[in-house]
Amino acid sequence: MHRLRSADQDDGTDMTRVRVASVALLLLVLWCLASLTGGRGPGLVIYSSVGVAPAIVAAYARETGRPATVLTMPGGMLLARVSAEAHHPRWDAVWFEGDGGAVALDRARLLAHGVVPELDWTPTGRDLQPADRSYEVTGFTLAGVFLSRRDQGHAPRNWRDIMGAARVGMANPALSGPAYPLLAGMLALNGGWPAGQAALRRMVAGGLLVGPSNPSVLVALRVGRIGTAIVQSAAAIALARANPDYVVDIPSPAFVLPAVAAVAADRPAARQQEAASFLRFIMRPDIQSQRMRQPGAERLFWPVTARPAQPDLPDAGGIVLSHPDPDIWGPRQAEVTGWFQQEIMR
Amino acid sequence: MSGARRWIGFMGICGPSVLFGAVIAVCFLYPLTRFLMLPLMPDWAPLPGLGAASGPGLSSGALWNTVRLSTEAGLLVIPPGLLAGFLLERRRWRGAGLLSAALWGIFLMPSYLLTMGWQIVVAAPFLAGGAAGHLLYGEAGIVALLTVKGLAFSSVAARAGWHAVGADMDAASRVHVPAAWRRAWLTLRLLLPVSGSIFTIQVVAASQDFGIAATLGAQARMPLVIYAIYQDLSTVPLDFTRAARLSWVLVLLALAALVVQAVLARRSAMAGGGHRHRPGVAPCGRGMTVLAWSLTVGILLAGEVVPLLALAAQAMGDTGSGDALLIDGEGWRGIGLSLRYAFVSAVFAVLLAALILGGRMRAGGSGRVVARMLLWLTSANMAVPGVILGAAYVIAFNGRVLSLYGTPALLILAYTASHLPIAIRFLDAPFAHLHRGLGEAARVHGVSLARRVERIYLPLLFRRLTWAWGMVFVTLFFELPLSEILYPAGSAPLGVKLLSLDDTLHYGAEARLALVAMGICLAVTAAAIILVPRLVVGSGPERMGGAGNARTAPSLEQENA
Repeated sequence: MHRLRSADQDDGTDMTRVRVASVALLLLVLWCLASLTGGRGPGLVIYSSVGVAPAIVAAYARETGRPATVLTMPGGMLLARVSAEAHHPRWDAVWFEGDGGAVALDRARLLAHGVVPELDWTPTGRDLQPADRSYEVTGFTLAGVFLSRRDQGHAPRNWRDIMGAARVGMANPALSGPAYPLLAGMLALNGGWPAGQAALRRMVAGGLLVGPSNPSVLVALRVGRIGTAIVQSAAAIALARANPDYVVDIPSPAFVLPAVAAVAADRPAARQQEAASFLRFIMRPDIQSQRMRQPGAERLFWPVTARPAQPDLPDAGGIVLSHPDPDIWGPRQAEVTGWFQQEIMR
Repeated sequence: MSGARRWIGFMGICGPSVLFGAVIAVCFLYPLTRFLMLPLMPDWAPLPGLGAASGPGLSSGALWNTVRLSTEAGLLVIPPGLLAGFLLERRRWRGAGLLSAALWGIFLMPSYLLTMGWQIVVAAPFLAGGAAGHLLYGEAGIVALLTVKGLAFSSVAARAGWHAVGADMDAASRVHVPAAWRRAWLTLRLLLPVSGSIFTIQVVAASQDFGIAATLGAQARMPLVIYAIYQDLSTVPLDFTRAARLSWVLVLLALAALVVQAVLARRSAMAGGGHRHRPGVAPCGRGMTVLAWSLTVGILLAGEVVPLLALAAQAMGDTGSGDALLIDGEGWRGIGLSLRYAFVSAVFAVLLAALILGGRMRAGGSGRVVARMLLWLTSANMAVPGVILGAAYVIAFNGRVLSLYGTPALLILAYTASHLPIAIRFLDAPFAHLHRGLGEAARVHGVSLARRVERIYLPLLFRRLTWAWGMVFVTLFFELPLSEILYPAGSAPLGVKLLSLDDTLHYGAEARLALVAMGICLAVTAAAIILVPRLVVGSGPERMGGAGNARTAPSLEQENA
């Protein structure tokens, strides 16, 4: 009883403390909620797997004075998130690599039509643009070039070499956006779908390493687990320029990997207009020049408009290009990557 | 008039239960039912997976791997878990504080960073391609990391178990059982229920661990169900229906484990029964001291020192991709957002847990039944990992009604709902130890509920509430799967930021951000759980944490009994 009596004596102080603490907690929670949910809205929302997107979106917001938010994620996850959101999208524009994915989204009626501007396209650029103008090609890289360690004896130079070579790595097309066009190209080169499966099975038997992303394949190359990585041209060229231990071979043919931007079909008209103006902004010559001045690998793309020219890459005219038809390979993406997951990743 | 009064009376008794029922329905029942019914109602999926037909569903390899690895981790964690609990609850030795800190450290360490640290270690030139790499990228590595990660929770359960084997039991066995080995055997048998409890918690936790499955599991080509679900939800081909089928496997596995645990808990209550005195704390013998220090150093090395040093080395050494040796604005923003998300959600989770457990203490029979049901429902939610809850929320909150997807509110809701079971588990014992006579005596004397909470319950429970908050806060601060699935535009929490740095090859920047975030998280949590109780309840009646002053609360109860 003694303890309870002493507690009674301190009761007033204790209760004041408890009340003050409760009020402080309540205020803190309210402040957190207000700061998380209130404030300036996200404005134009862009989902992107293109590394340069944050810088360009920031430039857009600066120039227009209107808020814009970019969510960057790997290409496979971007497609999955967009299809999960389906006809209640939280995005206004998407910007990612691989026109097959764009065709698949368009078939699911998720992309707005006729919002893509008419520009001064190069011949390659004009070929890459879709007839229904459901997406805009903003430039292209190559889906798979060979990045080899210089200390490796016989670096593979062409597709026949690579199909028979041991210690080769590529990214998983279920996760990495650029890996699916590469896989599609490799299948197309070996008899199409499903005949090309045999070539991939041979590569697995030869010890093909499949990493979750392009960076993880590069790490495997760096630590010597593989001798050659089949990766996107921008990453390969950037690494080889920074480190003379690596050498890049552009195979013939090289598979075109277009970067595409599109507008959500199920957003209000005003937001679609805003998103369309962002698509025009990306393609402005000064903004394309800005994209070509970015640090790292992001600047190493070939433009699809006549201006500006890419100063940092060999002329695309000197490369034998092959473009896996997105109308054929896009709708097949789920089936092909599903097969890859079950047969190759097993 | 009397009808209205009866209605008010009914609401007074059942109102909180109705409120909790509504919360449970919105947070768990509605979204989970909608998601888990997908195998029967495939039309409920947002899009039929970019043109893909739903695959055959259950991958037997992933299923077998999950069951086997979780069981192995569940068995492996029992001995060190029991030992840690024994050392913290029954022995007085100089390293107890360090062991406790080491266990907290493991709890604080997100499994994806733990894995990343060890991956950096085995990628070191002198280890690359050697046996260490093969071991880590295989079953042994995955099970070892799952075991290390599971030690934090196991030791909490083990402490409760050692506490339950009270002083009366010790004294009785000393009098009635002369042989020391038989006394030890008796103690071990008494600890069987708690071992079962440790095992089941670990099986559930291991089968649901996303960080290790997504890193080591994926790279070791050892598919695990949790990662297979995530792949179905977040990669092409998107397949919500197959994800739902796989989710059933995890849910049923966890429910089976929870049923086993409930049976064991009942046996434990029957065996231990009655009122207990707190057991004494004895000094350590020489052999036990060696064992204690080995365990502490082992945990410290495997769970913290080695992975953190590896991260630090990476953070200092690798400035590739032109990164500065500083955290950029985006990194700080991620930390700030995670601090707020985790703070608010942890407060909500602990408050809800306290309300539900408080409801259980009510005298009225109906209130107790509903509270018991809610307790079961939230326990069952332990069977639902973040990935499944995230998927369920995408479907449930992305329509015309309750259109919350892509808002911070949904992330807070998901964080709170997913961590409510942890808060309930942690607060279950302290609430159960509260003597109901305390509150009832006050009620009979006309003390209002608000004053009873203020004067009796809060001072007695405050420290435990802050600890529960700390536990939830730490796990939410680095939360990955829910954040990855539900983060709103422009407000990506820390986990998403770290993973995106990982994806873009900025390992040095990732390691730096992770280390700074850990420091901040540790500072905030330590301040909250050490300073706040001192400021609020001061040297009041509730001092359950330390060994020396832990007798106050039980002795108060006895005086009132």
